[in-house]
Amino acid sequence: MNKYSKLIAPVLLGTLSGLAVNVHAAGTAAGTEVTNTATLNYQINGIDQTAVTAEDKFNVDIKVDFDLARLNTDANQTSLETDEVIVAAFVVNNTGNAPTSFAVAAANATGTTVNANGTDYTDTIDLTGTYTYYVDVNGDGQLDAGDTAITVTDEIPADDSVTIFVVLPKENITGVDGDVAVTDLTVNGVASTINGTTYNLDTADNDPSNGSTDDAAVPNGATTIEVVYANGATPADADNSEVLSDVLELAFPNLNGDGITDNLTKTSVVISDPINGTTNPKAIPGAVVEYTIRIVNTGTASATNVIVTDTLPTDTTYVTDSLLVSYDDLTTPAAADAANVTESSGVITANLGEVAAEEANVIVFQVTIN
Amino acid sequence: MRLLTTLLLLLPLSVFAQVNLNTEVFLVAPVTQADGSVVEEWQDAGTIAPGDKIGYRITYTNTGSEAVSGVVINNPVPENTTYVANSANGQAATVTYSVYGELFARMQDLKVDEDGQLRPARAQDINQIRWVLQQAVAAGKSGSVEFKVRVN
Repeated sequence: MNKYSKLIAPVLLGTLSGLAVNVHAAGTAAGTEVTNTATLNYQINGIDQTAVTAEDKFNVDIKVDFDLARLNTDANQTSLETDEVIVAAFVVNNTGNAPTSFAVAAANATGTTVNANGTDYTDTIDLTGTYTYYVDVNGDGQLDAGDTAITVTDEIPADDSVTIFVVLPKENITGVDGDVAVTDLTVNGVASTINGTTYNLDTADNDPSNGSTDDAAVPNGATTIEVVYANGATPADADNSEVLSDVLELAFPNLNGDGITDNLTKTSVVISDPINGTTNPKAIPGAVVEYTIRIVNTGTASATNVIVTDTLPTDTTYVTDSLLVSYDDLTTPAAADAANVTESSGVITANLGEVAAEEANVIVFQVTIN
Repeated sequence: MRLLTTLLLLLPLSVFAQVNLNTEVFLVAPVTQADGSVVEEWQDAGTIAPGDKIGYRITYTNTGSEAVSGVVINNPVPENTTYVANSANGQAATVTYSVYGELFARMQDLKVDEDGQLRPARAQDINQIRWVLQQAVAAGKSGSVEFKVRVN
């Protein structure tokens, strides 16, 4: 601390933070000129001479590096209510050091399994037709009218990302509730433009198939720009391609049942009659009969705008204020919902709204036998 | 006459520069040898990307007729690169470092003031390297010093 304390003073925080600013995930931008300057001071016969300097430069080459991520944590779902269906959605992250355009292509991943948010989804159906790829222009994660259809993206800046929606018309999706379509998206870097010059990207190092002479297989000097395919994790897999699977699940409400069990049921029980009271009541004139209607959604999507109507049997009269409803599958509902469940001129109308997947609603009312 | 004067004025300048200095850049890559060992090789620097390790070799040659002494080579760490720890060396040269570029010391004696706390300097703090040759360079002789950096 004594001898070298002088050394401490010149150390500036600004120098340190300046270093930190240069560290990006993507690294130094492609094309950046890096200059080394050495200076030599010397003496002849104890006399200082003019210093000599030497300089050497290189330009940072293009490092092609990117990865794919699924946009949505959960499986994409469709009930085929919209004309265009998002069958897969991906985020392309440009982790290289150059603005790069990417080509995208989707295909059925027949029979493969994708884990989405802890659940395994195994492909059961293939999709048909021609995919359309939309870039999420405003970056809101939603397919909007302003999103543009592409097969090759614009050049995505280094350290930036773009979201791609893979879309098919609903006519190209055929299946039943619970069917799963796994779609692979293959992404390749196409081109990078550095200082006004566009460099076409190969499929991999040493691959001259597209006529490019810009890749690392033919290094042509420190100050020219080559392309290095660092794509992939560590160690670099030295190619220019990434594939990721996303999952689409067909999710329909099911109020119809499976052909064995009906999802809409109606049962009745005689509550009382004028002779026996509530003990062993018989269905005789004057008896009170209670009807229970239960609707259950055994599908995987919510059913909306569910309306149940029931016309009272002939020769029966509705028992005033006997209409009760349970939105929670209670067999003996405690509450009426006069706004949505009504009796009028012998017709019960229950406007149940949404019945979520795996949920049931119960409607109970009473009549007297004329 | 004027031309001759100009030539005479220029002449001493070339005479004074008795040392030739050259710096070269190499890609430093690990290469697996036939026996399975991995050796760092200094390769042609045609392709350099972020994350690569590169080596600089600075070569001096005494092109004059007299010995030169007191040789000091200064080399700032190039922008967009980070010095690789313990990579600076040179024949019969004492290597010192600077964080700010004015005062030089051995690595273990450098400290950095970070948020008011002193801590030992790390390789990534190094801003400049200095080699002090311990001996004079005789006429016609040459030598080299080198260091490595990693491209940010």
